[in-house]
This record gives sequence, structure tokens and C-alpha cells, in this order.
Amino acid sequence: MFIRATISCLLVLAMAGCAAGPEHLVLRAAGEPVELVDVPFFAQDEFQCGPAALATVLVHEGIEVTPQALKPQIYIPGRRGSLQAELLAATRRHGRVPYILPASLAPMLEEVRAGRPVLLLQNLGLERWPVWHYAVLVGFDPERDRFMLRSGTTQRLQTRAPAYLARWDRAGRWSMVVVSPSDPPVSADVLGWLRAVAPFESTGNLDVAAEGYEAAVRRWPDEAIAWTALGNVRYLQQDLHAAEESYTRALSISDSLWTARNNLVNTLVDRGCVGLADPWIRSAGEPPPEFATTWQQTLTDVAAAEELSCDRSESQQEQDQRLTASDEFPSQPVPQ
Amino acid sequence: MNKFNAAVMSVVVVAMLGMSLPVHAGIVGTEQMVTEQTRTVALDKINGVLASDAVAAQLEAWDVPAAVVAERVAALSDQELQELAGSIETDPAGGVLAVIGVVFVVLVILELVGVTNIFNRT
Repeated sequence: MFIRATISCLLVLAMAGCAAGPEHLVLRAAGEPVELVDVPFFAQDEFQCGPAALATVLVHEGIEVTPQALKPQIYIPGRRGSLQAELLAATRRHGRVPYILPASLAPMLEEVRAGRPVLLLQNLGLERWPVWHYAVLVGFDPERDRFMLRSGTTQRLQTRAPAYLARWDRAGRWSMVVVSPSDPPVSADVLGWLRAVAPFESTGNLDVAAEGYEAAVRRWPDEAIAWTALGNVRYLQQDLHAAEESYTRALSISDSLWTARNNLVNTLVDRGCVGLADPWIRSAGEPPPEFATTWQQTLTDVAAAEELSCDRSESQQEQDQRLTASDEFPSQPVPQ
Repeated sequence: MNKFNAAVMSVVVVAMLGMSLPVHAGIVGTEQMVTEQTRTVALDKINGVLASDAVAAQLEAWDVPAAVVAERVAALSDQELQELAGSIETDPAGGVLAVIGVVFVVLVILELVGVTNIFNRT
């Protein structure tokens, strides 16, 4: 009786396993097969799939590095493995941007089709008893229902789609691509890209951050948040004029972006231009609760600041001269 | 990190979270801007110091050579450090070469019968 119950139970489960879920259907509709045959391969040493997988994608992006050189940057003996956060940090140490893909299959396939290998975390065990492993996706074949990987000591591992999808799903659907700061991934969105680049700013690598934000405003010129980010790095690079221009551009796109407004006011005050900050403060309205403390601090700073010789930006000076020369434009535009 | 250290660190972090110190905020950085959070920027800056200490201590406890711990922690962003400080002990650490022996056999059977893909999310 028990055996019969078990068998029928297993049969039901097996049938459930055959049905294609939503992500599996994405693969089936993905068109022609793709395989990036020129992606290098590094066979991993015991427990060191992290360094091997990261070296694979870094070398593909033109960085000369080996798994052995990456080991002191990401391997943790006590865990016999590498943490995701340290893979991100080590990628940045090599001047490349680690971009975490959203938790769905479509962007993974899009990146591979665009020629970018995808580094992913797999759980080869169970949710309850995980066995973590990093591998690199280099191809897929919708017709044969297969994914092709650089994995462990296997240069070209072919995995059946259901197994691949399940292992990725059980690992939290985490994957990333590695790109140059001037070249956001094809599947990227503006917020994801800024999140990927921002750590360069906060760890003091301002040149790379600037390159990444410049790429952001090229790709998403109508996104206020991208201009704000560019303003932030210009401020940190002590180019206050450029910072002011970026923030102003951001606010001309969206005047409800509090970070841009707050940072613009701070920039103007730092330049000694308290008077110029005034219209931005008067038109501010009430900040959202999470921004109240920061804004209050800014207002306190403004109140304490003295108007110094405000050296206006060159473009503004030109504008002033034009205004003096002609009365066709009676006043400077005042922010709403 | 042993259990006691972890407990002490948790208490300290919680205590700091509850405090509200007037810290000069000024410019709001991009990392704070793009991070979905409701905590204030000022508090994040305080916690950042604690978080990096906690992560460094844990890496050393896991036999990462002391000579490289500082540079590894310095390479992590504020946001990454704070997340790690909260979950480093349970975060995945990918490493295996292959699943071996009995575990492998069990997993193959489970995968064949569909147990490991029981909800069919993929």
C-alpha cells in the first residue's frame, strides 16, 4: 500500500516536471541558437569556481587576469567559496562594471545574443541543502532545449533547459554581465546601470564613475536621475560648474527630483552663490518624509552661508552678456 | 566570527540604528539616491563604519589572509557592506567543483522525478 502510494506520488511529480513553465517558454521562443565559442575557459581548482568564472568574463572583456590572481581577491577558505558581493567588488577593481541582470531569462538570452557571456550562480543542491556553484552561460539552443556553459572543469557543458532553469531559480535567479564603463549592456535600464556604476563613486574611483555616468546620459538623455548622477561625480571631482549644469539639466527634465535640487543648492552654496540658490529653495515645496532631514540640513547650511564673490559659470556669463546686449530676453528663466 | 561576537555586533548595530545624530549631510551620493530605502543618509554613514568592521572580522574568522582583508573590504560599496553585515553568514558562497557521491545520486533521483522543480516556477 505504501509502495503504491509512493509510486503514484512520484508519477504525479514526474508529470509536473515535464510541463514547461513561463521561463522555459521564453527559451522555446528565442529563435536561432547562439554560442559564443571565443569565450575563454579556465578549469577550476577545487572549490574555486568563483575565480575561474570571474576570470572567464573579465578576460572576455579584455582584462588580462587569471583565476590564480583573482583568488586572493574573492576566495574565502572558511566558506570554500566566493561571495556574490566580492565578485562585484573584484570586477570593479579591474575597472569593469558588474551589471546584475533582472531575475528573468529574457535579459540573459539577450546578452548572450549580443555577444556577452553571463556569469550566474547555481544551486546544484536543494533549497534546504544548497550546493552553490558559479558558471558562465555562453550559449543556448531553443530547438534542442539546451544551455551551453563554461562550468567547473568542463569547457563546454550542455545542460537540459529544465535542469538549468531550476538550478538558477534555486539560487535566487542571480546573474551578471561584465562590461566597460562606457558601454552599458544591451538589456540595461537606467536605474540598474546607475546602481552598477554608483559603487565606483562611493569607493572613490571617480574617473570610472564619471565614464559610467557619461555613458548613462548618452544612452538615456531624458532621464533626470542620470544627469543627477553625473552632477554628483562632477561635484566630487570639484568641478562645481559642471555639477551645477548637470543638476540644472536634471531639474529641467523633472523638477520633483529631490536629490538633484538638494545637491544643486549645496553646490551653489559651496560656490558662494547663495542668491542663485534662493529660487530653487523657494520653488521647492514640501520634501517627502525620507528626504526631510537632509533638506532641513541643507536649509540650515544655506542660512549660515555667506554670499561670497559668486563666480558664475561661463555659460551663464555669456547669457548675461547677451541679456545686457539685447532686451529681447528680459529675464532669466526662473525654476517652477 | 563566533556566536558571541556576532551577538555583540548585532546589539551594537541595532543600538546605532535607533540613534539619531545630527550629521552634516550636504550632497546626497548616487548610491544613496538609487538605493530603495527609507532610512536617512546620515544614519547610513554611521552604520557604514560598523558594517565594514563586522565584514572584516568575519572574513578574518574564515581564514582570509589578514593582509588582504582591508583591501577587500575597501572594494565593497557602502550598500554592499551593509547588506553583507546583515547576512554574510548565510549568503551563498559559490565554490564546488562538482556534487559528489551519495548527495549526487540523491539529487539526480530528485531531479528526475521533478521534486527539485516541484512548483514549476521556471
